[in-house]
Formats: sequence, C-alpha cells, structure tokens
Amino acid sequence: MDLKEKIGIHLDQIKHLKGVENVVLTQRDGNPIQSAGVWFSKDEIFNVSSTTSAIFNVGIHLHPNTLKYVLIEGKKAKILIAPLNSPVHSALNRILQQQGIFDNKHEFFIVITVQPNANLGGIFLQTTEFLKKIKTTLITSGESFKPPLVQFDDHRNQSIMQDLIVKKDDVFNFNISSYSLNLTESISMELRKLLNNFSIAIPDLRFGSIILEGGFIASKLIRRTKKSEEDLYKNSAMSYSLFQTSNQCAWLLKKMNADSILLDCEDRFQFIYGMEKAIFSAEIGKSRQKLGLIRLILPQFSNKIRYLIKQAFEIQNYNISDINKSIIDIKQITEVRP
Amino acid sequence: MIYDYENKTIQVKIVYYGPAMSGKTASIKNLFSFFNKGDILTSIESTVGRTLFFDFGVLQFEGGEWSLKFLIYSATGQDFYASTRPATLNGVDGIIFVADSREQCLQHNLRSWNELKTMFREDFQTLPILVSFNKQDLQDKINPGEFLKTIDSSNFSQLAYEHTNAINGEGIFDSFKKLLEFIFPNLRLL
Repeated sequence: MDLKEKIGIHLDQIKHLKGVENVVLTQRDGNPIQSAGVWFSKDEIFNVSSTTSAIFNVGIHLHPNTLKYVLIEGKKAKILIAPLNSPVHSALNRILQQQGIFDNKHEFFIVITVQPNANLGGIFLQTTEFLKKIKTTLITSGESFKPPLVQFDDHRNQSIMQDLIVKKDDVFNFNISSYSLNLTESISMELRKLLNNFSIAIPDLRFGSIILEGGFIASKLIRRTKKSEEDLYKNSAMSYSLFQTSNQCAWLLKKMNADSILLDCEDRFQFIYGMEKAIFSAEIGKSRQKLGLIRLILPQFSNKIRYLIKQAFEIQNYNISDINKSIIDIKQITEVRP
Repeated sequence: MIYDYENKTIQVKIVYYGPAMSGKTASIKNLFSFFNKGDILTSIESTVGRTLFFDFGVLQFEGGEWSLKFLIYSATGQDFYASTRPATLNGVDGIIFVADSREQCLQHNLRSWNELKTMFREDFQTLPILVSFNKQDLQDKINPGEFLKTIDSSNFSQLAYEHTNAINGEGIFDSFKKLLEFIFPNLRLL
C-alpha cells in the first residue's frame, strides 16, 4: 500500500464522521496530497488547496505556534482548516521533536467541510486521533510534497479566476475598483464609542479593529496587548486578506459567502465578521469568557458597525479635491534617508 | 482611499503587480530600505521563499495639516496562487506594474497585464499606473515602446514608465514618486 492510499484510509474515516462532507489534506504551500468525499473535479481540489493554503499561511503568521484551527462559517457549511501539528497534539509533537524529525512545525494542514448544523466539537475530538495517524505516516515517509513552481497558460489562469467569482445578491462581484471614502468625525466617534462599549462587554479584549474594503483601518482599539500601530496595520492587512480569501474558498466549495471566521489559538480567539464593505476583527483572551458567550455578544456589535459603515458610504459631503490640493509638501514621519 | 477627518489622515493603497520573478518583492524591499524601513515588511511566502500571498508594509508621511499613510502590497506572481491576487488588489489606488525587461519575458508581461485588466471595470484606464521596466542591468532587453504600444498606453489617462533595477535600487524611488504625483498632483516628497 503506498503512502497516499494509507492517508486516504484515514481521510475516509474522517469523511464518515456524521456531518462531514469532504476533506482534503494539503501541504503548506498548497499542494493537495489526498482527499476524500464528493468533489466535482481535480480543479476544484486544486483551487480549494490553493486558497486554503493562503488562509492557513496568514493564520500562522497572525498566530505563530499557537494556532489550533481556522473555522469559516457560512449559511450552507462550516469549513475547518487545521494544522497537523496543532497544539492539541503536544505530546506527539514533543516526542517527534525529541527525535529530531519534526522541526518544520506547519508543513501540512487539513481542510474539512461540514454541514452547518453538525456537531463540530464532536468532529474535532474524533478527528484528532486520525490526524495524529496521518501525521505519523507523513513524517515517517520523509516525503515533502512541495508543489513545483509552475506557470499556467491563459486558459488555465482564466478558468481559476472564473471559478473564484463570488456572487453577492445574484450579482457577480469580481471586478475590482478603486474608491474614496470620507470618514467623517461623527462616524469615527460613533465607531470608537462602539469599540469602547465592546471592550466593556468583553473584558478580555486585546484589540479590535474595523477594517474597510481594501484593508483600510476605519477604527481601532488596543487594550491588553503591547501591539504598536504598525503591528495593527499589519494585522489588519492580514485579517482583511484572510477574510477575502475565505470568502473565495466558501464560494468554491459551497457557492456561499463567508459570514464569520474564528481563529482558535491556545490562549486567545480571533474573530472576523464580514459586513459587506468592511470586516470587524477582534482578538480576545481566553482567561475569563467562554466562547459561547462571546459568540452571542459579537453579532450585536457587528450589526451596529455594519449600520454605521453603511452610513459612512452614504455621507459624502466633503470636498476631497480641496484636501488633495492642500497636500503639497510631505515628509516621512520617522527617519528620512540622509 | 480613505479620508479620515478625525485623525486628519489619508490612507492610500498601492500594489506592486506583475509576472513571476519580475522583481516585485525586490522592488518593495528596496523602496522600504530607501526610507530605512526595510525591517518592517511582512511577507506571506511559501516554504521555498516565493511570495505566496503578498508582501505588506506601511510608509507614513506628514504634510501641513494632513498625514499620509501608504499601505503598500505586492501581489504574488506565482500562478499557483493566482486565486489570491483579487484579494490583494481590492480597493487599490495606484499600481506599479513591474515588468521583466528580458526579451524572452515579453509574453509573460503581456499576459500578466491582460489578467490585471480583466479584473477591473472600465476604470482601469483612469487608474494611476506606473510601468517599471525592471532588470535594466541585463542584456537583450525589450523595447519599452513595443510593450506600451501593445497595451495601448495612449488610452490611459495616468500611465507613465520608468527603467528600474530592483537589485541596486535604481529608479525604484522615482517610480514610487511618479505614481504619487498621479494620485496627488501637487505633491512634493521632501
């Protein structure tokens, strides 16, 4: 029995858990290794592996060493992306590290699509054992499964892009455009007030940010963390890109939009809520509040934020050209090269 | 572009785009080094060091009353990750198209340009674009005029080009400056 067949057996076991629709094991760079369940084509597996690889790599950039899984939630399904060396396998990780055979910590990950009403906790618990077996099989094989550097022809590239067109309200929403938005003082104040209230409702909030389409920060609040403003911009760029790509992945798999994303880490949660032209991202420590309670509170705030952002896009009574004309001499805020 | 009246800050998004191995990451690294900010770049890259998703960094400038924050990205050139490019381009205010000047890369450049075009609506022709003909230190280079003619550059209202060498930084700052002048015509970078 070859390696892929061995892995296939374990993936089939995961597929047979109640509520699981399909599953694919992927190398970190996006090379699909083996899959189980119903897939429409090899291209579908390839595209899902490629987009989830982007999501996974951003996830481990945001939370190096502590990321347990990424959960994308939409109306038709939940998509679980989990590293094979999740901290929940700490005992096995320790043994492998002592043997010096598992030094690259995030080489493989698994993507599991489950029905929206499935018992995720149960699936997660049962999956853990299968993942350990897959990991051991992979590591002892010594195979790396890195994808080759490839260049596709026009037809292949166009086909990838077409598959990714996310439809919203029955309108294709692939075309990218620039936009200008005036964020008025009153809207900024309201957004800040909301984030403050959110931090009162969620005492373990580390930071929260409202990020507009394109990755621009509309409002932010830093609490129990030493993050600098620069860190927050990086975090926002990554969170926004992660959400956008999750939306593409959700569309590829289930023709649905992603509503929210949860990044579960050892000591914290990061939630990302989609709101048409913005996202709301919040990092929350785990010490005091339960996941269930946070999940009840979050949508109330995201709805209010959604309303304010909608208003912001409607109020455009400032004269941008006057501001642009006033920008004549600029110099770098920090150090300028001599 | 976001005009934040409370903080008197304008956020502008610039994306380096182009075919694989044309020098996008090298260009962005050189630009940040120019401002002594080389260490603040974030790169989501593959295990073999190619850009998997994007490179990202922020350059901040202050003017008289308003300050400017440039959110600078480079999109992946690897076709394996082509699916991530729309997410990086969304909300872009200006593009630096990094073309590989080697003669054998003309078709790659054109293909990448055409892909970029298909992702935009009709406003592509009004978008500020700077074509950076990179790798000027190498032999057998393409004629910029040939490329510009093929893409019908005369139909673009805000398009310019620059010869660059991302390895030694030649033309990198000038490309950035030229693009900013399209976005803010009165601007002078001190």
